[in-house]
Amino acid sequence: MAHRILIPTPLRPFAGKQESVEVEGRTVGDALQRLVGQYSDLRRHLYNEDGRLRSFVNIYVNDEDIRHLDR
Amino acid sequence: MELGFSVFGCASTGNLANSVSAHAARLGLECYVFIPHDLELGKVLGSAIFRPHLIGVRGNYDDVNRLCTQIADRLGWGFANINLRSYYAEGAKTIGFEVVEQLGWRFPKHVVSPVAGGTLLPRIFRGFRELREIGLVDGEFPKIHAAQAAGCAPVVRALQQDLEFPEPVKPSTIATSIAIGNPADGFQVVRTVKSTGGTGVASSDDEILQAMELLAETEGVFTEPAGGATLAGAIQLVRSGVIPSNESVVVCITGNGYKTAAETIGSRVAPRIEIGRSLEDFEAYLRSTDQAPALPQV
Repeated sequence: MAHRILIPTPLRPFAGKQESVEVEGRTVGDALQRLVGQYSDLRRHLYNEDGRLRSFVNIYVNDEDIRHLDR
Repeated sequence: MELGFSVFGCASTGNLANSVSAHAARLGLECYVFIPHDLELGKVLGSAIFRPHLIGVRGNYDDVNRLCTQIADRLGWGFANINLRSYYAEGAKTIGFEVVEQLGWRFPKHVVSPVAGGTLLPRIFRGFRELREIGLVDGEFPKIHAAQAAGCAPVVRALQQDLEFPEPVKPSTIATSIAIGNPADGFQVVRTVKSTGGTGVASSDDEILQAMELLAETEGVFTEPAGGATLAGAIQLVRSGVIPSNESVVVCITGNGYKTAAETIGSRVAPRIEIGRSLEDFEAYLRSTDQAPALPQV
């Protein structure tokens, strides 16, 4: 299933200057992996050296912060 | 205006909205302020009087902030605490200047500051640092302690768990001015508190209310719950010995109590007594109370 990921202004230079990117993915993790697969410069802004999402990066599914969603 | 913005706005828990609305009115700017929909009426009124576009968002402050980030992106508006944040932060450091000036150009040993989005505390320290750099004050920097409500304490938790970045929480507290679950400058607060040897302290809503009452009854200062959280935190730090009782402390009381009175402390204040308009009516009232002073014999 295709999802539209909105890219905030500071990250657009690393995503082909696009406001949003369509990616496939079954989970949020899948979709993000495809996103950084497509735009490799984004990876270091979203993930730390251990491959974990940086704690100051906020990801929302629709209107909800994924930290507050059921896993 | 210099930066080319035609619309001024902010995401706010209430107090910033008051300020942004007032400044926009003075400058004649189109103004949009965004607040959580269930904010206290006193805070809403403090913005509404200046006739901004006042948008109550169905969600908490973190939802409001995220929406405003998208609006700033999409419409290119200037938001005080988003794309104009560096200017907003520079303003906050003047509290550090005022503290030193009002103490006779000395540092206190301790400062207890409330933490919401995290702008204030690191900038108080920046104010201290700049004054020392230019030689207006010398000596050791104060220890700066972060106070939050227990129902919204991501920064205090990060300090206690030795995390570099606070983990966001969903706020649940009467201290709505500091109910920010995902503080934008939270990591700077953690860094500043650690570097000065300070601590983090969280207080329950009941401790907050008790501290509001104590501040009013002993200092004549009526604060809102954010100030109550700060004083309640300071009390805990003194009781636990983190702040020795013989060392100087500045407790930052950053909001007045009228704005939140009805929703928080209103039922705990002195009752209003109604009497007739004669002296006898008043003396009858005095005699009916336990603490009546002796009345002169006629």
